[in-house]
Amino acid sequence: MSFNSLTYLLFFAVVMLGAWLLPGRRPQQIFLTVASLYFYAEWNSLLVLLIVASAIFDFIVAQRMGDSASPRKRRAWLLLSLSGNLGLLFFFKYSNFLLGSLFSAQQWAGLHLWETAPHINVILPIGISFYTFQTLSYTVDVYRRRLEPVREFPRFLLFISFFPQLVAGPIVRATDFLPQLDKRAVLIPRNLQVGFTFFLIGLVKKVVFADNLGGFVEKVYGQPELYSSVPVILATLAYAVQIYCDFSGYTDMAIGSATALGFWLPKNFSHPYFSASVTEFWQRWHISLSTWLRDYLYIPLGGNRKGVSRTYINLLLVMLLGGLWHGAKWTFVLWGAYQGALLALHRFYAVSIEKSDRLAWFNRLRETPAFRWFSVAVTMYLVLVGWVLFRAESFADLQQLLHKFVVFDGFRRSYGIYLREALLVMVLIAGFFAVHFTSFRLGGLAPRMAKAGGLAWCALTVIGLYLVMALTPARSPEFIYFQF
Amino acid sequence: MFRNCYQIIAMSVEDHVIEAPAMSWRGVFGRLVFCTAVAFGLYAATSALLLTPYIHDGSDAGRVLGVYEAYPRIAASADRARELVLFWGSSMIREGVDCDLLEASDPRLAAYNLSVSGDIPYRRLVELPLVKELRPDRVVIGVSYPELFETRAPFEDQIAVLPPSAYARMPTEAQALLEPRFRKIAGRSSWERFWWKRKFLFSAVFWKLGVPDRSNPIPAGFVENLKTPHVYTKSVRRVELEKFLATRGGQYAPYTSGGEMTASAGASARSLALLVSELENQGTQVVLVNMPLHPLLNDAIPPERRAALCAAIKLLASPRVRVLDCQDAIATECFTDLVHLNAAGRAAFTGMMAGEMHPQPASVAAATPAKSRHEL
Repeated sequence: MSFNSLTYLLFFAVVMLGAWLLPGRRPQQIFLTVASLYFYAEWNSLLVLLIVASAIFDFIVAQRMGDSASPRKRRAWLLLSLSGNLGLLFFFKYSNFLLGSLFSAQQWAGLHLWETAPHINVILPIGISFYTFQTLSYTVDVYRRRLEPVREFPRFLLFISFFPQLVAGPIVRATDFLPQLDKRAVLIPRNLQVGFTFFLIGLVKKVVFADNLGGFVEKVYGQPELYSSVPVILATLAYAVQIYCDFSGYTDMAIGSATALGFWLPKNFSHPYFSASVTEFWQRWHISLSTWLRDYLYIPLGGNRKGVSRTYINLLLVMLLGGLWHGAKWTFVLWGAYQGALLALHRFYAVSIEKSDRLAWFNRLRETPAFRWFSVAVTMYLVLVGWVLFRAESFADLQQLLHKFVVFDGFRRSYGIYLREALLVMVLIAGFFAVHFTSFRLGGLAPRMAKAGGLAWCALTVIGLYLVMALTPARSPEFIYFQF
Repeated sequence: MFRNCYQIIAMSVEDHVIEAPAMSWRGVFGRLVFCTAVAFGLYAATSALLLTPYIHDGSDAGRVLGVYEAYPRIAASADRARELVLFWGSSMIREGVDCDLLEASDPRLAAYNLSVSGDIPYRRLVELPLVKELRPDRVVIGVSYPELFETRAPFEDQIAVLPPSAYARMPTEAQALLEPRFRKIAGRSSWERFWWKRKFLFSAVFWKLGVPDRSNPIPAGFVENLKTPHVYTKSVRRVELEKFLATRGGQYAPYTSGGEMTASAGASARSLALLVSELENQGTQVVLVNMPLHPLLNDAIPPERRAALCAAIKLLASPRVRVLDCQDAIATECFTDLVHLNAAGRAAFTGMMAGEMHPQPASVAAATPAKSRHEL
């Protein structure tokens, strides 16, 4: 059941009505938990058991950990939780990747342990990376005594399985969500209007921009050998818009759904394509993941407290794992390494310049709006190179795509791309950046729209609904981040 | 700002709380219903004023409708003293046959070019009831590798553009050939068709603005043009065609590779057999023409693939069904691209068709730069 389906709207109406009618906190939470599990079961009813089993495991482990006074025992419980959660994630997501890599390695080394690539027949449970990180943050927070373990299982299960953010985030911290379960969620008309506004904006992002650009991206990235630099550059720009609109659109719809039900979910994006550095990009892109990596990986590794070289190593390592989190493919690992290297380079550049007295003039220049926009352009270019790594289907394709993206091969004719198709892509990209820029200047479109007066809200809503009605493609692909 | 690589983004629950004006449930639902109704009205207006005219006048799908609706017109206008000839096929027939030229070269003929871009016999089954009513004297069907090797279903738009009643009229044997997806599209309700039209919005806007959809835009009146529905005016240079084939490793599916292993196994091939037998049963002469291809493409087609195609067509031959192989009957300079003929090629191919129907007038024969053709 996808957010951009009529089935979801019907499901949501029933959930809202049920949550509104049920009197107490507990019945309401049990109802929401059952609804969330049903939502997940629409994809795969068997894998609901995995979420429940994972939740039972962490619920028990966290209680034992919370009750234990001995640091050694607490650490042992933490290790058990980490190995359980990461073990599940590894088995479902990375086992075939590991086996495939081992097979390639033995071929490269001239060994013959396997004749064909070994393969385990497992389905990747949708959203496993998201809910695993969510449960991990809970047990780690309990270990750190930042959080008391939850004593009511339905409440804990609702935290893990809350349907708006279950399959593609944002990754909600227990410290943010569990306190919201202390009382019955209040459903009020204002929240419905605000939630609807977020949901509509997310829907426009997904069906108008992401889905309409997806076909062109698929065409060029599917057979890069057929296309010259111009289509490759256009497709990469289109992919930048597609992935942002797809993922942030999902987040907006998740936030909208949760808001209508009286819950708060954290912000996941903040106009990332207007970042003036890669560091800033990661403060604006998939914020719930980057802050998670910071709090549960970078800081425990020592962060920037253990010397200069260790800081760079930590940055590289964190982003490498961040890349791997996205999927079991070497191109993701490469993308993670690239992002880590960019973060390290940027840190080196920023620290060196700030320390130098001779470059005081340059520091003043850096504060000017013109330099900021120049930095935004440079960052955008580096991010686009990153998207080439991220989207390429194989290393062979990557080589071709990077060559065509970085080294311009002129206006060579590309077959199978029509003028209208290219114009449409350009119109959509320009339209997106116009809206993105307006939103950036306004400090967010959804909050501004929700605050707007009756007439302005109605006018914008009519535009949004019209765009959805008129521009939804016949086949809307699944959200990109579902595969992660 | 750049001091720490991972600065904490100042975010709190408070930041996220939106100050929206307070209102009642009635107010919210009232607004939502109102906005949805206005947006729906706008879409309905767009559909009526932009999408429907575009589909009917400016799209390839509209041509399917134009051809379907042409049968009663042909029946009303046909002078039955003349021999009624229909040409069926894809854009190869569309570009290859000039019915005005054919009629001028042989006044005994009343010819109609009913080609549809990207057409395959599988889609053409829907015209069986109409052709049975019309009872033409002769139907010339242009076939090539797509018609016999391709396993794809017809384009969604070409199915959806016709009303469900068109499919309901199909004979049982033809309906039995339809695969589930085809049936599903064909059986769509008016409500589903109303929403389906939205897929043309971008194209319709560009059409209205006069932005061509390709290097050879659809000309005005194309949809209902049953004599000279030609679209291509620009030719691709030989060097570009060579490059095109080279970028694909010398392959151009379904001509050189792909599709069913045996040409007569696919739904399209079975549909062709059904079309031919139905026409034959009603006493219509059928001419199956293996359409001319550019010599560059002919060189890239493996001999065994060509032999399979010829064998599959030959299987359909009978006293009432003639089979012609024109695959390498036209010279290089007569093509706009690898598969479509230009004006010179059209004149040549039309002359050939005139010659196949009746003894060829000397003027047409002289204008024919044809290489070779033979009966299979």
